[in-house]
Amino acid sequence: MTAVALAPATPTVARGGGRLTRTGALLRLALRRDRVRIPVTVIILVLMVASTLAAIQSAYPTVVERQQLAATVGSNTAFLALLGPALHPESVGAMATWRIGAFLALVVGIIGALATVRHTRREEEAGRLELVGSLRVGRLAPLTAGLLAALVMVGVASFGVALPLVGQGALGALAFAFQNLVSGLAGVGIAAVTVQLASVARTASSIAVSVLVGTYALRAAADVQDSLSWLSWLSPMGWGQKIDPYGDDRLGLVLLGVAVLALGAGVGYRIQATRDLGAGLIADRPGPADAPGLRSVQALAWRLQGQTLVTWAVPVAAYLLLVGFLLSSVGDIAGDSPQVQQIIEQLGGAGAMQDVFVVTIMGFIALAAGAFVVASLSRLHSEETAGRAELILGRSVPRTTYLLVNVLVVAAGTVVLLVVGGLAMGVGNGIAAGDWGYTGKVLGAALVQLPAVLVVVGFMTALYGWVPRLVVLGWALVVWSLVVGQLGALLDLPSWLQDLSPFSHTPAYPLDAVAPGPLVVLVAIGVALVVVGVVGFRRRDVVA
Amino acid sequence: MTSAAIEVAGLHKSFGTTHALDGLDLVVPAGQVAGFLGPNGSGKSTTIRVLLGLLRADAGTARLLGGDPWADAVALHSRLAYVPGDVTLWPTLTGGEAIDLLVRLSGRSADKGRKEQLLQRFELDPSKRARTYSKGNRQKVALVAALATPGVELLVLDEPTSGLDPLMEAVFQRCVREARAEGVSVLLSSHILAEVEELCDTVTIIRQGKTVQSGTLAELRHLTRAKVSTVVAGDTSALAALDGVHDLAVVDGHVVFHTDNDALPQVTRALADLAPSSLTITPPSLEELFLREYGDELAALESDGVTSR
Repeated sequence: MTAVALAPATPTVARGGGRLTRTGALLRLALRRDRVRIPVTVIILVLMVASTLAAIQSAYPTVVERQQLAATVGSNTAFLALLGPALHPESVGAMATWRIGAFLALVVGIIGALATVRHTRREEEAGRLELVGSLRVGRLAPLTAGLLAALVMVGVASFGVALPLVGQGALGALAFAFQNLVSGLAGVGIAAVTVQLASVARTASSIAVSVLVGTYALRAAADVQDSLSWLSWLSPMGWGQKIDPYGDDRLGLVLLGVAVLALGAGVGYRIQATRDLGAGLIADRPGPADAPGLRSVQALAWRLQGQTLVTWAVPVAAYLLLVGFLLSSVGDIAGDSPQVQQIIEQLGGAGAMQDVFVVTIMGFIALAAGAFVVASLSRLHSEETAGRAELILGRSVPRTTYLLVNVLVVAAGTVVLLVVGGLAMGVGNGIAAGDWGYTGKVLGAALVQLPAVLVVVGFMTALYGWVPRLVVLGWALVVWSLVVGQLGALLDLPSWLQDLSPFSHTPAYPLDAVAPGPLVVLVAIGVALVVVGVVGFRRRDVVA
Repeated sequence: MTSAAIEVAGLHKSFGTTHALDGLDLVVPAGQVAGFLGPNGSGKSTTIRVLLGLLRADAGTARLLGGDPWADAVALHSRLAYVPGDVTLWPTLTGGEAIDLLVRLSGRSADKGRKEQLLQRFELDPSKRARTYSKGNRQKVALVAALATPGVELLVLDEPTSGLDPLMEAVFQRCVREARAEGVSVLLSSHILAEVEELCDTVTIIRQGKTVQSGTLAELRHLTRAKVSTVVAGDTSALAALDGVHDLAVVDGHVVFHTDNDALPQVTRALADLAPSSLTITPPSLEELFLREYGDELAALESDGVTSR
């Protein structure tokens, strides 16, 4: 042959470099980094389910009692909005899943969304993805590993929370797992899109969580208003209710969550495959070149904490506004049942029911304020390890000023949180009832929570002042307070263990009158702990 | 003594079982630029954090602008400006906002013209959010904030040019010279030897938390050997026999050796007798000084360490 065959050019790039290369290794890394977070989260959720089940079993042991519960609380507007309808009073499992199901599904959805953001956009924002991307790693491997890691978290959480219910029937427990799973899958799917939209992890998280909370509100509207019941089909928590554990057990509806995940992941992959590293659809705007207002440590603390405060205050206000609207209907809880009416009369009448409701809700808001304190003051530790505290203390700023200003700004933030929450609930109630007489009491019920929250402020300050890496113990105090508040009486815990929770000393206003004694003691403890923290911070090394 | 901006003697600091500082000495004469040399982990940043009152020394004395760095921290900090080696800024603040904030936290107000001028010289866009800045740009923010702070008597710079390009490095050097001309004392921690050689009046070399060399560059050079390189026709055995001549090597009439500085007069006399056709005498570079202190780490096999004390 004289003709020269034109052989196709030999590929110079080594084969085997698919777009998913090394996904397994990245997934193992992601799970390793979550090896504490996953078990801790799941244990807390399992305890919540177990305690709910125990509460239903002990408080409503007979079918008749559960039927009364369903007929009164289960059909009350306020509880319909918060929990959904109670359809199967004959089953303990169904009543337990009704009591916690919608809320827990929301939590699992949020956990899925936050895990997705943490394993994808946060890695990119921190610059670690750049390093990983330079290795022999497929273009879509990091996103895939991140999604899989989030799915592992969602899966473990969903099936874990069903474990306490297995004794009530395995099929129902599986349906309960699916109720959480459908929401968790949707949370991952939604976040798969938001991490592509926002170039900042925090924004991606906020959008995803807002969407999930919004869908929770959609199903609340659907449960309250029959004409709006179709809205429930737009909500992963609505799908969860329709799965109906210990009722119809419609397991197939979990496919709706799979569909959201597939859709979200599909959109995410499309954007990820073509966009630049670090880019998002929501661009960063240039900011001011000067800072005329940023004159002091106070100004900086407000600037940095302000954003956090808003992200806490808005959902608290929205939730309490909704609860406020429903508050006046709590009095109607007795319905037509003469026995329940009798019980309520013994408790002090319909007004007292309203008071009980306010006390319960405000107890939760106080814990939320405590969580806000822990999250905000934990930031002092990360500011220090990141080296930003050094930048400030290297200037002419006394340590006492630096710490006290930050602590006071957080304390003021809790006041804002409680006042905003109290006002929102009071306004909601005022509008719905057409009577503003109760608004002051609601605001008072919010403010009476403040001394206990101040103890958390003091606790965090003392930890930070002496052993900053232990600030994580603040979460232990909040979780302990939650456990004591929910289960203290039920588990018959020794009183000194219950007394360790500052929130257990808060008066049950407006149900009871306010005795100033415990409040004064709480404030004194809080202030003393702050002083202890400042003394420690003045003596110790500031480590970068 | 008030003539020194910084005086540190016998400083000790441990973190758990790690002895970060082990009797460190350091003097920064007023109005001078003092180089502070040592490899990573030798204790430079720890020393600086003690001087800033962020860490409390276990033992030893430290004086800063005539005051106690721990007890008088707040008052002293209004008279100095600090640039860390690894600058982290608030992600949501712009560079310009961070500069204004830092200057004000020294109890001063930023001179707008000076800030503008420095931003231009360092080619920094102050309207960008800090999270979008590269390492070099974050470093520039801290540099501008330090240099724009009015009334500063002392600049404490901890590897200030890491991440800067050569053009910006030149701008930085000009700024330090200007500050010195205004009477500002400077402590410049670095491991960029060319930078220290270019800027510093005195140098302190530390190793594992101890000072191993300190003095003016001229003094330090005096302690070591110059390198002589020449081409001669005659017999070099007379040269080899001289005291103070070391490592003599001859290849085809090309002679290279090292000589002690005090032996230089006799060496040049002996060389003249050999009728050299070319001759260069190179004083030791800072790099050679530095490597000499760390030569044993470089060649770990040589068990006989080269220590000068």
